[in-house]
Amino acid sequence: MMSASLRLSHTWLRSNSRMCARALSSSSVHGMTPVGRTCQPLTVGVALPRNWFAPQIQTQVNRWMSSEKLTKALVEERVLTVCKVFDKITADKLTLESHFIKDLGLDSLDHVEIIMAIEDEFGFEIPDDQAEKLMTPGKIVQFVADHEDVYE
Amino acid sequence: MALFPQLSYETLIKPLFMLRQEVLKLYRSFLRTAYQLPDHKQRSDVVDWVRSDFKANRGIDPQNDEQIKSLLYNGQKMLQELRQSMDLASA
Repeated sequence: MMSASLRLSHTWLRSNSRMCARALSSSSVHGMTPVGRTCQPLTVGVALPRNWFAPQIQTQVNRWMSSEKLTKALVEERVLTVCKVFDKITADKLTLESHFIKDLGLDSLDHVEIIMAIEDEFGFEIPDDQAEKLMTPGKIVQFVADHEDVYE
Repeated sequence: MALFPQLSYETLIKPLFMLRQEVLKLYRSFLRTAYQLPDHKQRSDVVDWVRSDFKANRGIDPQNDEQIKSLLYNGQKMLQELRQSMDLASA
């Protein structure tokens, strides 16, 4: 099971890197390489546009890629924005403590999608056994803060 | 077991309560594959198709091993086909 998911993420990262490299090379000035735009696998997932990503997320992505320091408040803001953009969540019921399944009426498939969106937003993979415990935005914030060593 | 050669050995021997994890993994693999599509319209179409297929099978008896495994098998087959057609299209 472990090797299968590693293989999957490796394939995903590899093919995403190829796409990113193609995109970057097409937009670069002929004969010059853009400075500092090396294609590191973990950032590629964030750079790809998705059909339900709102523009707010793209600006936050750009801020992150310009290495603004992560604070807990910023993590909260981004996690809540990702949840708000999800079309099945009504924004007024969304709080840090609202349970995805019990309060917001989602099911486990929607939860998988939300976790994937969080992975793409912050640029790291979340293994399945830990992902299934992240049932409120607050827990996601805690998990991301722990992973990214954000103390505040 | 010989009926489902595509499913990995780990999947076949899994007890019932862990099959749920396999289903979620398959869903995630589908979505990851779909997000590689460059065309946004195609992407949302594929995502809608995957979602509706998974949700249509939501009501099946959770005790029914064989049915769940056969659905998983079909799903993995379709994922392979999706990946192959995407490779063909991007080549």
